[in-house]
Amino acid sequence: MDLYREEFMEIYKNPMNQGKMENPTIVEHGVNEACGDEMDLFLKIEKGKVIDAKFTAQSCSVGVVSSAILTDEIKGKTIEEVKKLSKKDLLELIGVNLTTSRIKCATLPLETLEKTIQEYERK
Amino acid sequence: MNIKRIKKDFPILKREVNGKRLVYLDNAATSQKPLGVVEAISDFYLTNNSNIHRGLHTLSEEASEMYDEARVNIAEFFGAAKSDEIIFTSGTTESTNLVAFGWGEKNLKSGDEIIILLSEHHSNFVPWQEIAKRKNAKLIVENLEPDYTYNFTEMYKKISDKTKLIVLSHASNVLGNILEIKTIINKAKKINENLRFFVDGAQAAPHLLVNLQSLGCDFYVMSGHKMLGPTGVGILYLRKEIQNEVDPIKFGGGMIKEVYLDETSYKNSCEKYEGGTPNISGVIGMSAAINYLKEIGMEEIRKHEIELLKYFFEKAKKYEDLTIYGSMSPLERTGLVSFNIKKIHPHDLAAVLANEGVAVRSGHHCAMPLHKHLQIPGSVRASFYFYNDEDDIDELFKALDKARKILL
Repeated sequence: MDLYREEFMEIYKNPMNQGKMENPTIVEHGVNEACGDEMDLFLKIEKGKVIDAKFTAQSCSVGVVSSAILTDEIKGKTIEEVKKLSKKDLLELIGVNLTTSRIKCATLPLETLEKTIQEYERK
Repeated sequence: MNIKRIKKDFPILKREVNGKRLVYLDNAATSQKPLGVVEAISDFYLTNNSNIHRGLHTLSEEASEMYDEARVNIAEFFGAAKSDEIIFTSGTTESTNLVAFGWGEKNLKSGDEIIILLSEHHSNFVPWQEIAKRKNAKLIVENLEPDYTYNFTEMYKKISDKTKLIVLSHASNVLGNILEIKTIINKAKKINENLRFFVDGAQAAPHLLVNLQSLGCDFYVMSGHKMLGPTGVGILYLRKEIQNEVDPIKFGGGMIKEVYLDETSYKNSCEKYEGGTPNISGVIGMSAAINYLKEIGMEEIRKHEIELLKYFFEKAKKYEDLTIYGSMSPLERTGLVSFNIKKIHPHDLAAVLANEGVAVRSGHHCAMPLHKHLQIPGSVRASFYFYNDEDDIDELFKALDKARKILL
């Protein structure tokens, strides 16, 4: 599917899980140095399970849509399940054709998620 | 200027992208190449290819002559006093690094100061930041005024005996603002006559007639590929009188006078800085590019780009959601415009434009300090060259309308 189709734009204009979270278990900041995109990922984790996920982003539509879809996807999953999510999985979930330079925009949320989980496990 | 005829010299401009005519407005990143340049390079490989200044055979003699003639041609075009002042590098970045490390290592000491502008391209910022750090020297960054200009009167006040170098871009790759280099140098030299001046001409040399002697700088750097030449060729102008202040940073073949087991002496010429086999075909291609520019005429190019800017600004007036960065006077800037549309991320805008066949750049354009200062994540940059015309700008504005429809 081409970028900027209706389904994609609907999510972009009303993204799921966008906004700050009160009292998250952990919050991480992610930056894509190549283009200047920035985001914060908030997770609430209980008994090894992600019970809530939210994000704020200063990024293009691809970054916002990817963050919305990814946060939706991980809600209710165990940490172990979340760790198994790959770049390929995420791109399939987003489901639009992305050029090489835009794939970076889509994967920032996943990189930030990986960093968040690592940080959580370290603590 | 007959743009329709000129366009024919650039075969790539006939290309279609996504079923639409290619509208190439990313010339500040790299220009397209006329057939003459491509042919000069392929002719060299097909008929003269050989290494230079080494063999006594015919091909090597031919290649050496072509390489040396290219240097003379380029030196004349930019008004250098001697061709020996023109050093071939891989591009503006290598030229800048050569001065930062070849000059900086030798001449900077702890406590020295370098004055630089906030809007510099990373390639004209990071090498200075790096050498300053290594030598414990101070980098003084001049801030941008709200009207996108610099307050040079304030800058002159910061010049002292500690100031060793002033780093300036002849034109910014985001704002396009053209600096009065000659005036700035004259005024600053009156305060400290030992000052050195480094000018990044990557965004000026393709668009303005540059006379190096008249500018009065010590170093001037530029890239061939932004002015019709191939990638991988750059120029460092190094004023002959100060060549002994700069050490080579690349050691190897071609730059040597004599080598002994315990000591080596280097050539006393521009070749001292060109260790290793140079980009021979690239230099020959660059010379062909200069010939093309000579034929069109730099004054004509400048005039045409001013007309394009006027046309762009006139059309832009109708849109309240369009923010343009930099001076609104076409006479004060080169043919590029960086802008944003309210509520649309620059990447999204550029992506929709790309779908419409319009090639622009989006992002921070390797000028993160400037974009941080402007408090924007990035911008979209449409950059023109002499082969662009009003139709191209019309297509750009049509594509911007389409982007608004899709993204807002």
